[in-house]
Amino acid sequence: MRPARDNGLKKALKMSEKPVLSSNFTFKTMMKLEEEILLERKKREQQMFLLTIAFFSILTIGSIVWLTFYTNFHLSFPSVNKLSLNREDILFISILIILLTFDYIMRILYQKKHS
Amino acid sequence: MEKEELNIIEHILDGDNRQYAILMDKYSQQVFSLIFQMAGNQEDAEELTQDTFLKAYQNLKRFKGESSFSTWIYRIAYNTTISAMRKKRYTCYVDEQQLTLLSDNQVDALLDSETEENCEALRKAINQLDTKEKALITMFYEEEKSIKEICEIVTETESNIKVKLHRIRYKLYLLIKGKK
Repeated sequence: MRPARDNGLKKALKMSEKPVLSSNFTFKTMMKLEEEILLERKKREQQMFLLTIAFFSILTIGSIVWLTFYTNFHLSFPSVNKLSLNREDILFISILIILLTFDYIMRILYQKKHS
Repeated sequence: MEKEELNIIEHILDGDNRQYAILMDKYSQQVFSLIFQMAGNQEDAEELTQDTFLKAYQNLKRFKGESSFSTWIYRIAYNTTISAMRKKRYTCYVDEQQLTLLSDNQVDALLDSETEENCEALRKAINQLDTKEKALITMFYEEEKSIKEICEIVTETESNIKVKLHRIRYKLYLLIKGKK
């Protein structure tokens, strides 16, 4: 290619209309950008919430299945005076409490980071 | 790649979104000019320029600094406009056989002539080119970008770009001569 030539073509390109971008373009785009970021954050929060629900549902179902099939536990609610917790039940409840606390802390940290 | 730009990008990636306005102020008019040449109307061009900067922001993590930010943003602008224009495609085809019959001297003489009448005819012929062709001649002749930089923007080989520019020159000749 010979960039020094084609002067007519260069002149024709310079002759063509040269519009200027509106003065508030950056402002408008930044506003749109903020909106997009907010939407994305909401979407992620929603996904996190659904994931947490799904995780705990699976955990609960899994625990019930495990308790029903691998231990002698029956899903009949014992009377209050007969209520006694064995080692597995205590383990299950402890894990549940730890995970719920962990979930709560993570949520606080996430909100702090993105606020 | 300017060090200052890399710093700005690092700040944006760290969460300081406001810094993005600096990059926008620097490149928006150039990007808009290219898109306007390709799209041919101000409203579409402004909307596509905005889309370009939003896409660039979303993909900023992928920017590795191998090319300049200017080349990178031009590539996004080029691809965004091509995709948008695909829907309202208008292409003026020329007979391929006619291209082979032309001589370099004929085409050189016409494209080099700076008479008012010739420039006006060329301007009208440019408007009949398709989106990709307009982008190529704008970048090469108007913005005087190197072939290497154009290759990075349109992600094609150097020889391909040279052939395309050569064909565009011939096409412009035929478009002008066809009208006379």
